[in-house]
Amino acid sequence: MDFLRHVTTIAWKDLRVELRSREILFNMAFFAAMVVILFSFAFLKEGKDGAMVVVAEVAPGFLWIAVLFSATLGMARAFDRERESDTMRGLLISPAPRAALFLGKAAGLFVLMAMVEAVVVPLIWFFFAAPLFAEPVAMTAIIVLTTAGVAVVGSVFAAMLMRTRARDVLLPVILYPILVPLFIAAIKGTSGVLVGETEQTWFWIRFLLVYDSSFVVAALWTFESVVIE
Amino acid sequence: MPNRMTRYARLVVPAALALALLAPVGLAVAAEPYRSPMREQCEGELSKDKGWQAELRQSVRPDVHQEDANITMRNKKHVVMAYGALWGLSVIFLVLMWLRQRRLVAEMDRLAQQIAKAAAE
Amino acid sequence: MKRGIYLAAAAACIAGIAGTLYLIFYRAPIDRLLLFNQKIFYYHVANAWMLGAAIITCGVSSLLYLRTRQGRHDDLARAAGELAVLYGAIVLVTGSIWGKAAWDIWWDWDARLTTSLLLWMTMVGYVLVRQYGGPGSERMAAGLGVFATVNIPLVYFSVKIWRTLHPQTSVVPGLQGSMRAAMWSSVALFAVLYVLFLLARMRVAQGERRLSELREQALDAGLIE
Repeated sequence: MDFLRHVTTIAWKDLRVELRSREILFNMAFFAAMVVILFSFAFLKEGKDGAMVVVAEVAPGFLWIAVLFSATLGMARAFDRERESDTMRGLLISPAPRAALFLGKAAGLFVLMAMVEAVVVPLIWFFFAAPLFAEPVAMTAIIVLTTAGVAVVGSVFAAMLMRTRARDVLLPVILYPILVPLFIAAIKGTSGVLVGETEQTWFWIRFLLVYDSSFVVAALWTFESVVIE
Repeated sequence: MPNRMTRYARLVVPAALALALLAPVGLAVAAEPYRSPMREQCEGELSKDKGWQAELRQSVRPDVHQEDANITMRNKKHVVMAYGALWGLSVIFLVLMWLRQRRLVAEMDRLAQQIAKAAAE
Repeated sequence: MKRGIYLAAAAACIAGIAGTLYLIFYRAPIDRLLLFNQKIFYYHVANAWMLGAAIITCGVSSLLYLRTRQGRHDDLARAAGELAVLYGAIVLVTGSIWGKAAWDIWWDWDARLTTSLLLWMTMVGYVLVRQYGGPGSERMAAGLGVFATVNIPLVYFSVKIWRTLHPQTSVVPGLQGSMRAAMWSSVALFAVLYVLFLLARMRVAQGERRLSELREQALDAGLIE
């Protein structure tokens, strides 16, 4: 269980540094909230009695797009810190295996994203009257699996691009197409929860499981080689 | 490195040649349409019986087919566009590769000159 | 001798193009539903298969490069990546034109078109990383290549279950006589073209690699600054 110890040490290190200043966390949360509110202006329409309502079908899309955008901010910043204080080298020559280093980073990002989602999900529930927790088990499964997928894939790409000049531009460009199946699954699963179609929801949850396992394997294959000190 | 390229070339290119040359020809030969032995007899009968000829012509409804033929003719432009785009993109790719190759050769010449100059000193 | 082989292969491809065009326009019958526009189908599908082949080539050689760090795998991956961008562009453009001719819209979020778009975008990202990634971009791009290949089935199935309008699954097995001939000869032609382009692009990449190695050696030997 040495491996697990390494993973938790690295994750906890990241979180402790972050929680001290809460800089990234606040930025991510606020940005996500802004995205939700801004997008809702694009989709407002007149309800039956003249009040403005949002087209309910787009609520899952808003949720996951807001999560995706704020996660992109978060993962770039997470590795920024390592680069600025030049601590990446120290991490790489430590006795922790590289896989543990990678999983620790991903776990730290996962927790950050979960904190942001704790803000965004109630916001969606509030603004769109979306019964997101009609099926709490399914919804939690979707949130956990999607966040894990983004954390894993995002960590690999952010680590890859750490030293690149064009990092901020290239990261979304190469990350988003890879994440699209994940987001299709998350959005369809969430709308399945909202509409009440359990079969569809659980299909997409299984799909998320397949996606996550495929990419954890791919990430473990490639992480060692692509990290540049 | 030249050896590896030559190995690839010796294996792959003749196979590619054979495929490119034989495939269309062989398949075209295999797809010959059927030709009836009763053609002359039918044509003779048709030319004798004028009423039959007129009836056949009418049953074929040339006006309807004229409409379809018009649609077919008009839609040729999409096919032309598609094939044009396909070859256009391929040509652009080839041109870019050729430019790249030219730049590479120029770089090599420059490096060779620099080395020759430094060696002469 | 090598040059002779390439010229002969190019001539064979030109013959192949003429042959396939003859088969497509003079031998294959006009499709009942889509009339003349169905002729786009032959080259479109052949290119789609080559897109898949290019992405898989890129992914496998990227993985080999990450494992062994040998230059030739990187060259092959780079060549395959750029070809994937070319074939993806061709598939998207011809597919979109076909859609306009057949269903009167340039784009609908149909499963295969969307999958091709996403895979194409991933490979464009690959080429961008190679171009602008700075030092170490070979490894970054290789990582991306592996992820893109693993992603192919996932993208396809997710988008397929999300939307379906494309001619239902396999049209190809149901093809008749001379249509089948045109179809398979197009695939053969583009397979040959793919291999030729790949080899040509690899040669250029190998030349660039050799050049930078030589420059390093000259620098070390103090011959140039």
